[in-house]
Amino acid sequence: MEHVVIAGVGIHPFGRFDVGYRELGAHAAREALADASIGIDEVDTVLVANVGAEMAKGQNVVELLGRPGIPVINVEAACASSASALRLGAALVDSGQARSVLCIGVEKAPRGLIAASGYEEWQIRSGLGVNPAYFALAAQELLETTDATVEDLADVSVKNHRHAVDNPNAMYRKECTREEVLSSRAVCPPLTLLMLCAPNEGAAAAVLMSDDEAARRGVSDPVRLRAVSLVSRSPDDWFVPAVSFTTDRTELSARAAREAYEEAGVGPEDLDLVECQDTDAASELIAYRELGLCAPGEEAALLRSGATTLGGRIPVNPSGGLLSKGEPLGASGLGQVHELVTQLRGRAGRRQVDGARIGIGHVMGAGHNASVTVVSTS
Amino acid sequence: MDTLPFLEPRLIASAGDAARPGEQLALAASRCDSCDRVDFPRRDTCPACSGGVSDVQLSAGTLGGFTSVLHPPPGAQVETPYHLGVAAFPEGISVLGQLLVGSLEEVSTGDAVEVVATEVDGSATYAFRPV
Repeated sequence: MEHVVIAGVGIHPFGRFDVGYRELGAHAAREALADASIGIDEVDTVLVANVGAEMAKGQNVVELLGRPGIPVINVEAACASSASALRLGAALVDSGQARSVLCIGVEKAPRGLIAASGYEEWQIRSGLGVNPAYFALAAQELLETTDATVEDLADVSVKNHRHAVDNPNAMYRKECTREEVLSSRAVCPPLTLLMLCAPNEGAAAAVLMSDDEAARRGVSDPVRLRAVSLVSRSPDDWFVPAVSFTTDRTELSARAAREAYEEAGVGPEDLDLVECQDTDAASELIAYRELGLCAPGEEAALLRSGATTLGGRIPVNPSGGLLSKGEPLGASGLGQVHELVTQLRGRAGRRQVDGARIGIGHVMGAGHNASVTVVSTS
Repeated sequence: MDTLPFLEPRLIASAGDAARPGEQLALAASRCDSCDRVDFPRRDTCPACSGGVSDVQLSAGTLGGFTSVLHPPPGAQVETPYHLGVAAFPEGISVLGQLLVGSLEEVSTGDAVEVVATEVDGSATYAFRPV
């Protein structure tokens, strides 16, 4: 993908709000259109990522923006919904089928545990359809097979909550201590409430263009979109909602990362920042390994070194991550893109990563899907 | 106690369609005739190589990971708190199921476990119990 740029981004803060999903999505879209200095009537296609709303949801969001009469396509892939829309949009622009595409991710999730994650009825009734239990099993395995401790898990939450203090779009903007994380309500041992992200509401959007179109329109500060990989389940991957796995288990996110690095022509050593899927604290540590930020077994050491904290060598989740922002499923990937673009433009204020030039976003979720997005300054 | 009908009969390798809670069971899995890969629940063709499959039963393994569910999940017909464990079978597959212990303190990774029946809302399903 040589010639696709992100010409503008927009966001509706993540949290709990009194407005419906249409308004959330339209808010982010208006911001992205204004940022790219383009009208909805000049866009060629709109892609709308959402998991839980209703039929023709994208069309309902676009209705609030005007009546451009253009194709509106709805996209769903659980936690990778936004990333799927981004990949499709990039392909439309890269192939010349569209000069500009508006990608919108939006969600208004009910409170509490996520229901309907793809489990069969018997799994749900017999108590096996429990997302945090899957995360807990992965966390326990990390603790047993590496030197990571529950204190390290707590410290991931502490780090991300500290980052979020300076992010006006995050749901939780209060620092917390290791002791507070460890003594918060146990959910599925070893995970406590403050080690898990909360499904919530929010929206994010991005306008994609070819670099020629961006130049023609005089877009200021375009960011290059270098790769958006997308993988689904291979025979030996294991995640929600599968009930079993084989001995030779493989890693979805590692595969997504390899594909993205290869397409973008970069490696983990080239990255200035990472926004990753911290559904729970252990997920972030596991992502360090799967994204190639460290060797297997060195996940906790990387955290303890301070490298992944703002000011460190490779800050991870400078936005505060999903642990602090919450996870509006359909919007989380484009939320990461919003953060990456803001950072690469040097407009992240007190949470700015100095000299940020190359960054990645990573999502992974239910139904076995993962994506890694690579962006860089132009 | 009387026998209870299976919640999901295709999961269980049994001549009948019911079991008493606590009774030993075997899980109905499939093994690929070409690449030997084992799947549970059973599949008609191998997801890795599309080969034909034969039936195989899983009845005894060792405990892998385990955790507890402390707050009622949506739709679950099991009283909290309850425990979950992953049983690793020598056939080359690991399966998630209820772990029938009073507390996680009672178990360690590597403990031998067997497949037994447990009650879920008037039906029987599989669970794992330390041997």
